[in-house]
Amino acid sequence: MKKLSATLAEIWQTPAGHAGKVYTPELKQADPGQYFQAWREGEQSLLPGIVFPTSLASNGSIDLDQIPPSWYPGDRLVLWGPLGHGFSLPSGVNLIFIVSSKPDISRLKPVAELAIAKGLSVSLCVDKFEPGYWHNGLPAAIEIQALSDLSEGVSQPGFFAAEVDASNPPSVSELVSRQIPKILHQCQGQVLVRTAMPCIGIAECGACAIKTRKGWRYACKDGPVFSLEDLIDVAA
Amino acid sequence: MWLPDDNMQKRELVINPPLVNAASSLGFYPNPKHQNTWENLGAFITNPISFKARQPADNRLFISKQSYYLMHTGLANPGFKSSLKRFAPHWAKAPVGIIVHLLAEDSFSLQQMIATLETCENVVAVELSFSDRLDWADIESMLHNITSELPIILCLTLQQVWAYLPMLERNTDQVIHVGGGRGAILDVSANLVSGRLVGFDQFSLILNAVQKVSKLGIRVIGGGGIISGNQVKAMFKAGAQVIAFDCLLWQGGVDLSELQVPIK
Repeated sequence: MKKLSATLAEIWQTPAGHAGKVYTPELKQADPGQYFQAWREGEQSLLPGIVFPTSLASNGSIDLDQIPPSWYPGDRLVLWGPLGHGFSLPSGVNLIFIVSSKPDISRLKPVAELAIAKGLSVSLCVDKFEPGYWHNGLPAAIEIQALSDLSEGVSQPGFFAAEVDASNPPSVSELVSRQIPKILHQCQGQVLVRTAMPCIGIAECGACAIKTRKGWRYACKDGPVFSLEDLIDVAA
Repeated sequence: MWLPDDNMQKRELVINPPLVNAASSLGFYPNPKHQNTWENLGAFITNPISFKARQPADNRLFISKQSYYLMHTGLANPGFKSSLKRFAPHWAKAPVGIIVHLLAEDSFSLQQMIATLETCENVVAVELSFSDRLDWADIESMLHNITSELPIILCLTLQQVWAYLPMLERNTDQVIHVGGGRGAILDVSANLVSGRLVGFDQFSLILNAVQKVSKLGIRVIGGGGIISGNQVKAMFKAGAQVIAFDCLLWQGGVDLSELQVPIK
């Protein structure tokens, strides 16, 4: 792994903060769900921030979420990564569900882009329809439906991608059980577990410890994307 | 002397270059995948190991602001016997000396762990940390009841240094690692959680403590949020013989030579 030089080309406001497009020709690709450590060149801080891609890398550029408000277009950045394990679309599926109980689906958008590029059908399942940010920039090919409409069995082999915010209690297993309808459990699924990852897999510091069916795992190096079966019905 | 002076030959502790990582900053052994983080250190300090296994804390927390961070993790580790089984082979073949950090809870388990570590290849010292719940009498009693061929480093928080300073004055033939402070913060459920506090404001407090302790003639390892060459210089000036890095090592691709520190 090596440090990637990048230039912040564009920034925009989101409900979650600032996001931006960086130009980084050295980056070949990052799997959706992988993450980067990012800092401004020459800047000294206690801990560099963690950013997630919100697009696939294309023509030497990639969109990133939650960049610091002090960054401006033209800033020279350093990226370290991509880190961790991202989403991987299994073979043999025809339908991808993007599942979100929150309006912000930016980190799941690259999963949709990847699926569409592979010729798969993509359905965005949301808790409720809200105008504004969450649907901006979504490919037109995506079908949008309410989670509550998933009342019948899924007829095609499917896969779902979801995200949970595990930075606060309750446990990841409870979050997943609450937010992923049981109807989707017949599909293969992967979940991006968002939590603090200060040591980026170097120290086993324990800040990102996640209890899974296979025991304790670290989101920073074993995740942050985990398979559904590892996260469901984990004993307390 | 801290330990009974019974003509026991104690091994000498040499840390050259005078750089180490703080406990909980680089894992349980020098991982070849992250060689750039430890290859310039004079010794490698492991994550804290307790006699019995510990799970991650239910209320684990990491809060990060621009000028500080606070973390509470529960110091999860597989316990001493499992740690030895898993990590001692890595310690033996590591190109840097290993300092095993132990959570000292009672003298019986501590003595067992130290006696075992004395036989481990490439373990050059033991570093001990103590819960805030213990007072100095407990710590002193624990230390009086153990013997060790390995050099012992006492890792004290800022609060412990100031609380125990009068006692430290009586026993200057030791090594103290001044490791930073503890703080507390409200979590999202409005519960008060205490944990390790690292920050720019903390650094000047640590420098002050290092200066105070080193003036007693005690050998000091100093660290706590060091990220710049100026901070390294300040720590040496304050009297630290060895510098400990923590969060700096979590910056991807970190190169300690950029700090103009004495490296191999």
